[in-house]
Amino acid sequence: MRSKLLSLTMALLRNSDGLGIRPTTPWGRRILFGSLAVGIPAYIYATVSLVQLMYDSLLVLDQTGVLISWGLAAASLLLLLISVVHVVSSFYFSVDVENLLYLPVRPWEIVGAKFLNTLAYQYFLTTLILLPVLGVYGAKSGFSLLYVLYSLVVILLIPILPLAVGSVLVIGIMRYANVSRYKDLVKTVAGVLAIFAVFVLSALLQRFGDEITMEQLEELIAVGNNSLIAITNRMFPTAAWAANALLQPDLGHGLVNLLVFAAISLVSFGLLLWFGERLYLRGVIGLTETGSRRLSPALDLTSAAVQHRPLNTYLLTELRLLFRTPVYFLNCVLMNLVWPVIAVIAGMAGDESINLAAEWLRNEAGPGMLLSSSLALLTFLNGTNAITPTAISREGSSFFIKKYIPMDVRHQLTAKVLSGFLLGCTALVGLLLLAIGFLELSPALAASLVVLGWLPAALTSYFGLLIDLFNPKLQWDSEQRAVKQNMNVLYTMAASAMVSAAVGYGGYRLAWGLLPTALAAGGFYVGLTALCAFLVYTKGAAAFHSLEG
Amino acid sequence: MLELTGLHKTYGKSVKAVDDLDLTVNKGEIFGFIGPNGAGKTTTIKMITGIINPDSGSIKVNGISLNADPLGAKQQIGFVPDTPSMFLRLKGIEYLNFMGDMYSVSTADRQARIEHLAKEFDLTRVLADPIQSYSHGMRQKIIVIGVLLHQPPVWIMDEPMTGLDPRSSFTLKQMMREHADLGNTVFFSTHVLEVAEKLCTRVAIINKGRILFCGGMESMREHFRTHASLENIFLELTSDAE
Repeated sequence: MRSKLLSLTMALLRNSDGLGIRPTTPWGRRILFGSLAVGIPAYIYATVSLVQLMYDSLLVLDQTGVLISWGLAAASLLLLLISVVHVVSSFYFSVDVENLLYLPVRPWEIVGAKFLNTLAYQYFLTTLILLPVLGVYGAKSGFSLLYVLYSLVVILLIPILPLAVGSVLVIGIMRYANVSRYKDLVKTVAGVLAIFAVFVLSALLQRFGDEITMEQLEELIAVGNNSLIAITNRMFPTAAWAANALLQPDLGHGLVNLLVFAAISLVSFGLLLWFGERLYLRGVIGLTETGSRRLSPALDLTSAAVQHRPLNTYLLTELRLLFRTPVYFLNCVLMNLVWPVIAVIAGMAGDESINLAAEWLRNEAGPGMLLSSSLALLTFLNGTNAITPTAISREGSSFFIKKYIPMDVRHQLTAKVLSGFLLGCTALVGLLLLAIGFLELSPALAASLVVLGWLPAALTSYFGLLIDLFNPKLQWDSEQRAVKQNMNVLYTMAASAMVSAAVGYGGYRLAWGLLPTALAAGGFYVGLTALCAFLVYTKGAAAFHSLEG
Repeated sequence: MLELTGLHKTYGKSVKAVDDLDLTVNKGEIFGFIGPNGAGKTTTIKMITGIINPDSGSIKVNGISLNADPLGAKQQIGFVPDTPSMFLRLKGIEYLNFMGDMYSVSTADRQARIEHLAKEFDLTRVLADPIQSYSHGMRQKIIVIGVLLHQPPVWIMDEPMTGLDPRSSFTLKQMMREHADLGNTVFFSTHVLEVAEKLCTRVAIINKGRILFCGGMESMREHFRTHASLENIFLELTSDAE
């Protein structure tokens, strides 16, 4: 008889749709095939070239090991950040949670099964990040059988600790969030708190690395022999054992380090199960219920029931659902608000990288280049906005409502674009605040940004909706699947990154003055946005009509 | 008035959900659409409401072609779906305002109708609460209120009695009667044959996408030369067609 943990894990895995990349429409298949055909070779080429360049540069300093150490630490930090949102969504907001609670299983078994499911998803990310690093290092330094074996073990183990830490953090916070009748609100606030707690944690970890003077750094570089690892290892301390094992892949020192790393990972998993057994149920039971109804006095209908324009009402409803659904808020709304806030906080806190960037931009870059790089940054940030790439998908089984209401499809699509656009513009406000505060922008440049800065949000909003119209994910049983396991978000991010790179590189190469740059960039964005809008209102509207939900 | 002519709908390449369906439902009628699971009832209703497109055939709602003027035709319809779990994170009043704005209901009309209908269904004191906190029956009732806000000339319901308590079920049946008496069309699918038998002016029995019988209860009994209940006739018809 299989253990309940294993049975539960397998059932959850079978019930999930993997990475959520199974397209249901012919257009979806075409988009997926095209993206994979272009994306995979492009990704391999870009990452391998970059890692090779880094390796060759570090070779001169005799610091090639930094590549492994930095790669593992960076991957761990990234996985820690991502795991918090995953855990909040999967452990607490997923619809299947309700169906697990009445089964005769222990809380640690539910937590364990959920953990292993999330882990399976994270292996995809881990491989994507680490394979180029480990592959290039191995190829350049001469593969050995043990190196390959150790690499496989490290890839299998590395997401465990960050995910366990993220899970413990979330379980701890949710234990205290499940007390109020305003459960949706508290769930959302708890999710936000958990994300910020992880940011603080990662900042603290990196602070250890910052506490080193320039003289010490120079000394370390002068020593050679991978001495810089002492710094990179501090980014995520436990990754050091994994790095040591890969840098010395033998049956002595290397094996010991690998075993220590494995032990730490497994102990962290064990601790999570122990923690889950004690706190998970208190955080999750009753969470899906909304607080008891008030028997409130009758509404004053003279103010509560008033006619408005359909477009405004539709838009307001979209925004209400985005803000009130915890999974949508965390994945779609918060991403717009979090980057500007982090940038401002980092700038105020005097983060070295921001100060260096500010200094370079002030001294070296002309106003034209500043404008193009700002627009490139805005395009990239808005590309991470998951609102319009999931605008149709989020309708799920209720999509039919949008088919029978007597509202022109083009107006419905406009309202959906506006929901992404309005929230996307917060990135502009954040960037402007940062730029005005720290870069001492000239009035002409600030005015150019105000005039042009909203265009990236318009472009990415239309593009995201266009993708979702042709490849919507309407079959889902938990809200998190509509947004988290939705490839349309990734497609939009990839396309935005390409536009961002083109604008940034174009501005850098051409090095035009402010006015020509503003005119060229404005024309470029207006042209692309108009094209996307045209496609949304013609082909996209036709796709909307043919969708049957 | 509803006029369906030569409606076809096939899923995949071979599953005929609706097969050459002709049907006319007149003003002032309460029309029951009955059939076993998978007979094509919901598919037909989805085609009438514009949710899915027929492969061929035409649909006219009060003389307005759904194909030629979809918005005009949809404006004539009020639709109560079979599942009331929608807009759960909106408050009751927010959902009603959404429906009111979609169907261009003036402020004065919506205030009067919300007040009247919420009182009828005993929802007045929960309008400010999220729909998520409502029971299944309450969700069904708030949806019915939203649908009736624009006093639709054609009121379509898919299994409307499911989840309603006896009092609400009685209220709904009364409303259907009143709505039809005002010269409107009421069209609903149901499994509850007793409701159809007592309430409907005419019924249609559908199985495997084809209408097996359409007419009033009396003409049905004459047609089948029996005094059996609708239930018995239904069972006989649908088992013959197996």
